[in-house]
Amino acid sequence: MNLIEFENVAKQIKNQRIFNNISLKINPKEKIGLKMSHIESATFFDLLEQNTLPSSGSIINHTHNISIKRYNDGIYQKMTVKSYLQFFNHIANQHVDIKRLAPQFSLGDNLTMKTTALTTDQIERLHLFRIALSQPDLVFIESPLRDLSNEGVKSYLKALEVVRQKSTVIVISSYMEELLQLSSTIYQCIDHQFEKIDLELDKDSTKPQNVFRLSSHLDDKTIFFSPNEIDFIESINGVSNFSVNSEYFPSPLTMEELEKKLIHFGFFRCHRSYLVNLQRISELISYSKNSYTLILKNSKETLPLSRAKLDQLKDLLQ
Amino acid sequence: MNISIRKINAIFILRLQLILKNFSLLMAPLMAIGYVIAFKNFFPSNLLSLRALTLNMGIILNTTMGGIMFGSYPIAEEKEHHTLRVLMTSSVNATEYFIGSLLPSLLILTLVSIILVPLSGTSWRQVSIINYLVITIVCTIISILVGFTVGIFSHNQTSAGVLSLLPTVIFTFIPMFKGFNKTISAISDFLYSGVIAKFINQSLLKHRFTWSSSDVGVLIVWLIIFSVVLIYAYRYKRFD
Repeated sequence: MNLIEFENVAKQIKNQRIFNNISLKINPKEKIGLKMSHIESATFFDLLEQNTLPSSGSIINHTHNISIKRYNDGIYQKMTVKSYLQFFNHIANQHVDIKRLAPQFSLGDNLTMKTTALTTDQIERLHLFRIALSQPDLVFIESPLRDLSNEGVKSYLKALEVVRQKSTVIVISSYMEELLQLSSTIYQCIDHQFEKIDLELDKDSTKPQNVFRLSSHLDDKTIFFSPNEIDFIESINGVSNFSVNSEYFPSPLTMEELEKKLIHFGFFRCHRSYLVNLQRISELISYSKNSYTLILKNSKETLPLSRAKLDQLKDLLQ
Repeated sequence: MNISIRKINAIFILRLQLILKNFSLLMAPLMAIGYVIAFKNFFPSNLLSLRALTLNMGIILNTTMGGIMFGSYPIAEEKEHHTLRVLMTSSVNATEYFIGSLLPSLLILTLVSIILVPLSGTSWRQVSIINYLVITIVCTIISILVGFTVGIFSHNQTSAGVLSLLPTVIFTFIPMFKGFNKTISAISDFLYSGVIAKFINQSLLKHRFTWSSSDVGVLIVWLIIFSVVLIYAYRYKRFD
């Protein structure tokens, strides 16, 4: 039996469509990841917490034992890790032996520490520990790896497996890399609807396959993008920038190099300074005889189209 | 709505720990104690009117200002640190949260109200302890309900401080200065905190306090008003 079922759920906020007839069934032990933008995930959690009702459709809960961990959830300060956990142990009435379970969350040495002294990595695991105490049937977690260090990610993944022994965990994030690490089935919110992403994993093979990713270096981290996440690429002052959910990420590659790599992924050089993901094009507008503009789905951005490229684009879109 | 004593007890212990470690929150009852001790030592007179004034100010500071602060600041703090949402999605409902938060505040403020009497140099023979406890407990509960409502409309502790200013001024200072002006005295009689001033004055100056229907009515009406206001405020705003 499903744990929760979204049946043609639509939601509008201030006349802006957020979800359009989304349907999703979550079965026990599934490792689902949901890729959503910030506003979509905020609305999704509001619907889950029943802070707002769907505009149409229904959400059927087959379990009421659901835990939710939002990205900015805080912890009580001025208390020790142990007393924090004991509080939630009393609330959940599970009588879990905190001391015995703490090493599984890599918090064995931190029980007597004040919560204010914990690192971001430890706080994220403490949230997981707190959730594990209530042994929920279903857990929704938002962007748990976003601020973690490499070591923190490893420990978190280990701790998550402990939670997954008794609970079904659904991860919601706007970053595909995060979802790839935490889930085996990923749905992306495209055009306000969930679409399952083909991860192209060969289940019979034990060797991982090569997965094409584009990288962007920001400060001390490298962010990887799947081509289908990118709306378009723009060259600004000689630097190629990926546009993902209206955010820009610089690329070390030139437009020519990117065009060569992405041509097989449905990208088209619509202008000297632009490479567009053909899947994202929703409209082609002609303002005058020689001026063409491309309108993208879910984006306020408009891209210029060179007149010389018009026929080529029309052929590709047929 | 189901209410779990276990969850209320867990919230009670948590809140008690957090209040006792929050020095800025404890300022109101400590100010009341400090004020009574200072007044008693600066004016070591046995004049009953002076002692009544001292005790009045101490108790009103503690029950009204303290109650409003103890109600509003913890909710605002939880909102500021994003811990309230965690609690509310951990199978705790609003009633359990409000009761569990009210009880430790009520306990601390009532204990302070009790020690203020001997600290002011007043004997328990002069003040009926039963009447004293009934009045201070009811007034403290009303003040905490006011504080909860302020907390619901606050985004953080700063906004809680600003929003609680008006009710604090009305319910603390009007009864405190009722002796200065007839209009203020008349208004004070219609405030729940005015009942405290009336009780202390009558107990010490007239050596006898008798409940009047207006006193009982004032306390009951304010208790109902702020209970209803809190319910509507929560339904309207929840803990957003």
